[in-house]
Amino acid sequence: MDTALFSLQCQDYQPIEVVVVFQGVSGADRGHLDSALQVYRDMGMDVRLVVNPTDEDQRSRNLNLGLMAARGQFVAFLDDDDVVYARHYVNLIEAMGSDGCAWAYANTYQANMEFASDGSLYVRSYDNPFEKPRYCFIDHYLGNFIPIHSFCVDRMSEIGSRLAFDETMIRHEDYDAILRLSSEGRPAFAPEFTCEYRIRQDGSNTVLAGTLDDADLRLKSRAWDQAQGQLERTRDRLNVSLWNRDIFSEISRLRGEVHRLSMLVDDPAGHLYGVKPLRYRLSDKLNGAVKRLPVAHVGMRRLGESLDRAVESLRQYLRTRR
Amino acid sequence: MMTSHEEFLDTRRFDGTVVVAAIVLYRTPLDLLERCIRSLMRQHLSADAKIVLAFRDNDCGSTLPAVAGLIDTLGLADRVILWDAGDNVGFGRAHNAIFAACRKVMGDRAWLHLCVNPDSIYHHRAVSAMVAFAAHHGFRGLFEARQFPREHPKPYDKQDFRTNWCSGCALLIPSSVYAELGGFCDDFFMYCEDVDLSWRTRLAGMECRVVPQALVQHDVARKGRDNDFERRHMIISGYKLARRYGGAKFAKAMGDMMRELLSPEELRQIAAWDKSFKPVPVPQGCDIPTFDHQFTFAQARW
Repeated sequence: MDTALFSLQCQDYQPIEVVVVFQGVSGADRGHLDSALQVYRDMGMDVRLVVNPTDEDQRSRNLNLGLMAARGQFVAFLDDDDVVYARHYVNLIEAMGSDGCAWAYANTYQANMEFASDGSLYVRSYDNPFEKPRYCFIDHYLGNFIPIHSFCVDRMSEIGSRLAFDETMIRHEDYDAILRLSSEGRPAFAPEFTCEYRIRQDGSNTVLAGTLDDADLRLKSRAWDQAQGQLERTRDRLNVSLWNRDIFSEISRLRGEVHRLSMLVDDPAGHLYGVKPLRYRLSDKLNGAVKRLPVAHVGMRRLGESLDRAVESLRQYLRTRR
Repeated sequence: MMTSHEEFLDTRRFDGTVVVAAIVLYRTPLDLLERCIRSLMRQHLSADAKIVLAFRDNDCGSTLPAVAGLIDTLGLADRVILWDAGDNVGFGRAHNAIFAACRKVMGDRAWLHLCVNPDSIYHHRAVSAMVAFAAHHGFRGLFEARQFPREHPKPYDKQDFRTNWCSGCALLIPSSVYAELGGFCDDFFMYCEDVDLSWRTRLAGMECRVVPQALVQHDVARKGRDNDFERRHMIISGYKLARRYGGAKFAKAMGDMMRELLSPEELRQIAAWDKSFKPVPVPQGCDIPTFDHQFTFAQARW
C-alpha cells in the first residue's frame, strides 16, 4: 500500500483527502496499518482510516464506506496495490470540465509484476488490454475496460450523486456500478495512460493470472462465475438510451470488421494475420461480429421505441394545445 | 567563524555519512523544485546520515534569487553548501562543477554525490535505502534509484540488482568513485553521459546497481518539454558514445540522422570533435558497451 500512497503524494492535483478502508478484525493488523498511515500524516497528507470489522470479503461494502466518509467534490478509488501517475486526477477533472460530464476515465496500463529477492516488486512487462480509441457504450456493455482506479466522479452532479456499489457483489462490483452510471451519462475520456493495474504473477491478486493452487483457482473461478450471473441481472435491468455517437461508433466498428474480413479474403497466405488457417480466422471474425449484432439491434430497437414515445407525447401535447 | 552549513556538518560533532543532493537548474519551475526539496528534507535517515543541498544554475544564476527565497521560506539555509552558476554546460559538466566545488567545502571528508533531477520527488525512505545499499556494497560502484511509477525499461537482476548502466536521474556516486573515474565525460551535453560513466565504472571493475527499495517519482512525459531539442541532443550524444566505444554501426546510423537534423554549424562542431575525442579502451571480447538495443543500451523489458 505504501506505493499507492506515494503515488497519491506525487499527484499534481492537490489537496487530496485519502480515506483508507481497513477490512478486518485483527487489532495488530489495524495498528500496523495506522502506524504506516501516520508516517504520511506526519508529512502533511490528509489521511483517515475507516474500519469495516469483518473477516468476510466485503469489497462493495468497503467501497461504500469510503464513499460515505469522503468529503470532496470529486471521488476516485485506488486499490492498495495499484498506482496512479502524477497527472491522473488533473487530467480527469480537466476532461470532465471540458466535456461537461459527471465522470471521466483515463487509459490504464496493466503492469505484470514479479517479486525480487528482497521482496520488492519487479515490473516484468507492460500490456495495454484496456486501451480503446474512444468511449462506446456498446463496447462497455460487452466488457469492462475501465478499471476502478482509472475513473473519477463529480459527486456534485446529479448522476455522480447516485454512485453506489451493490453490496451483494464481491466481484465485478466496480463494473456493475459504472455500467449503471454510464447508462445515465457517458463519461469524458482522457486518452493518456495515467494509471497502472498491477498484477502479481504469484497469484496473490483476486484475478486468475498466476494462480497455481487448484483449490484456490476453483474458489476464485466460482466467485467470478457468481459475479457474472449478478452482472447479467444488472444488464437485464438497465434502461439504456443509446446516443448517436454510440450508434455511429458501433457502425464504424462494424465497418472496420468488414474491412478486415475483406483483407483476410485478399490475404490467403496469412501475411497480415499470422499463420492461422484462413477458414478459422474467418469463422472467428464472423462469430465475433455476429455475437455483437444483437446488442446493437436491441439498442437500435430501444432507440426507436424511445423516439416513438417522444413523438406520441408531442402529439398529445399539441392536441391539448388545440 | 563557521558558516551555517559548516555548523550543520561540524566534524567535531558529526562523523557520519553526508549525502550531497546535487541539483542542476535551468529555468526550473519553482513549484516543481519546491516539491523536490521538500521530499529530500522529509527523508527518514538514521542519526548517522545527513543531507545537504548543492545548487548549480546553468542559466548564469537567473533562477538563484528565487531559489534562495524558497530555501529561506523553508528554513533550510543551513543545509545549502553550494550556490554555483554559469553558462549552460549541460548535465554532466554541471555535476562535475558541483563535485569540484564540494571538494573544497568538504575537505578530507568522503561523501555521497546524489544526482537529483529538480522535477523528481523522493519517497521518504529512498535516500536511506540508497545509503544502506551502497554501504552494503562497500561504497564501490554506482547506485540508481527505481524510477516511479513508470520504471526505465532496461532490466536489472532480481537477485543481486546489477544492471547494464545507471540512469543519472537519481544516481548515488560515492565521492571516491567519482574522483577515481574523473566524473562525467565533458563531451556530452545531455543524454548518454550516464551510460558513459556506467560503462567506465564497469570497465574499472565495479558494478552498476539498482536500489530496489528506493523509489523516485520522475515524470518523463510532463508537458512543456522541447521534444525536438531533446531528440537532436540524444542523437548527438548517441553518436559520441558510439564513437568513444567503437560502435561503428550505431555511429553510422546516428551520423545519418545528424545530417538530416543538424545545421551546418553544428555538423562542423561535431566534425571538429571527431578529430579530437579520446576513445575509451575496451578489452577484446568485452561485452560491456553494447549498441544492439538502440537507446536502451540493454535488452528492454517491454
